[in-house]
Amino acid sequence: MIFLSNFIHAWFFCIAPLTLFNYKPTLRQHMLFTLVYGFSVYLSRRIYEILPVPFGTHTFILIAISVALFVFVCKVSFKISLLCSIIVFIVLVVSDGIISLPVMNLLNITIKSYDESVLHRAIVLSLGIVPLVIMVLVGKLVNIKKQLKSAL
Amino acid sequence: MSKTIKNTNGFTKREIFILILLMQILLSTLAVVYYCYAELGIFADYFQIVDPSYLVVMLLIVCGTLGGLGLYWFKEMSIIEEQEKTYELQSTKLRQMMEANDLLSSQKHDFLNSLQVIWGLAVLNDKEKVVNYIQKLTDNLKCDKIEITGIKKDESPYLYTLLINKLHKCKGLSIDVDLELHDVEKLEFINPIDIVNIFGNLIDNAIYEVSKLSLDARKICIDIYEEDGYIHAEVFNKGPHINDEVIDKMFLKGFTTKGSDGSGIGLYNVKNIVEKYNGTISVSSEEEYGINFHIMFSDYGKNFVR
Repeated sequence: MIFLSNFIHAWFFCIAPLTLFNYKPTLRQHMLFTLVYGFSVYLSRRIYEILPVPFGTHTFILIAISVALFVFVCKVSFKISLLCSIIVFIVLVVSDGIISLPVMNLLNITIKSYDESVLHRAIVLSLGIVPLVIMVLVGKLVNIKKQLKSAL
Repeated sequence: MSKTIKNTNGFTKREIFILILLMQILLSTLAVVYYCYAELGIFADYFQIVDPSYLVVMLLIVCGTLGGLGLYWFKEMSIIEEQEKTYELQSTKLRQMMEANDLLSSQKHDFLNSLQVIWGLAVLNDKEKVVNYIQKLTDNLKCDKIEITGIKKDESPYLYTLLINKLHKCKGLSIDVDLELHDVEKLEFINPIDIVNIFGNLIDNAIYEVSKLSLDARKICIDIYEEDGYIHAEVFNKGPHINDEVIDKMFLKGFTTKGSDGSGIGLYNVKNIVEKYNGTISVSSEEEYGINFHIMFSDYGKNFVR
């Protein structure tokens, strides 16, 4: 279950920034992105067990992987991929700071318990998905506005 | 245009600036959130945590570098935007010049055709048809059969006919014209076309200015005289006072106070013609007096290329 939660996160991670830039990946592209990125999230978090690197290194690895996936899987230009990745990470980090952090502090959730408890992971994951869902909605709203403007 | 100015990576300078800004935001928020996580003890014991002081120093270095880069790109962007504005302005000016050039070319073409017809009629000695043809070309060319004292029709036929035409125009607008023509023959060193251009423009300007005044104030004086070895030509009108700023710009190409009625070419041409004959032109304007254009030629005895 904990392993599968990475793919839910990956699913929204793919669609949120692309909707903002009005890119519509095919289902196949979306599935492939989710699969590869989900695995990457899982594996990058295991890096601390193998290498003596400081915590947080996985974020930079994931930025690089997400850029590559946007380029090679979703066929988006490098420029847009870079923008997509940076924007989505800014949103995630900001939401971590203003939503996840107070909740985790309140419920005494630590990174250790996040890795081990399904409930804790579900709470943090759902909190992390909220800004991505908002991004999708904002993206759709902006696109609808643009379409209406061009139709008028 | 900024979208077309790309560096080797295909990024515009604006996009690079945005990317640097976003990177700075990402790193700053990451560092702040990381610090909060560490301070609140949310990290697990088995993770290797970056020392907060080290984190702050790193953050300062990275953000400082990115900030410096951002400032550099911002400066570059400003320069490019200024260049774009200059290019746009130049492009607009060029387009306008090309349009004006096209218009002038077509007018010149038509004018030459008309001149050929007039020349042909003159060669055939058909005076009446010449007059009728020119009359049809413009309804502005009307004149009275009057004699002007101080100027001989045979010696200065071009200035004479120009003055007759302008006098007729002034009569129609109830403008009082005072002619003081003493040494007109001294102007013979000037090409007749240039004489017509000088006096035509100055008198037209005077008519334009006084026609805005009440009927009793409409007055124009034209003086031509020799004094102290110089030949003087003055065109005075009772028009409203004009300030020094306008006087300074008056002879510049394209400058006009007539709005859409003017072209900004007339006085510019007059000045060029006067200077071609080593002459000077000056303007004086006084409150409740009027405007006086004063031309002086010193070398009127010399031969110029006509």
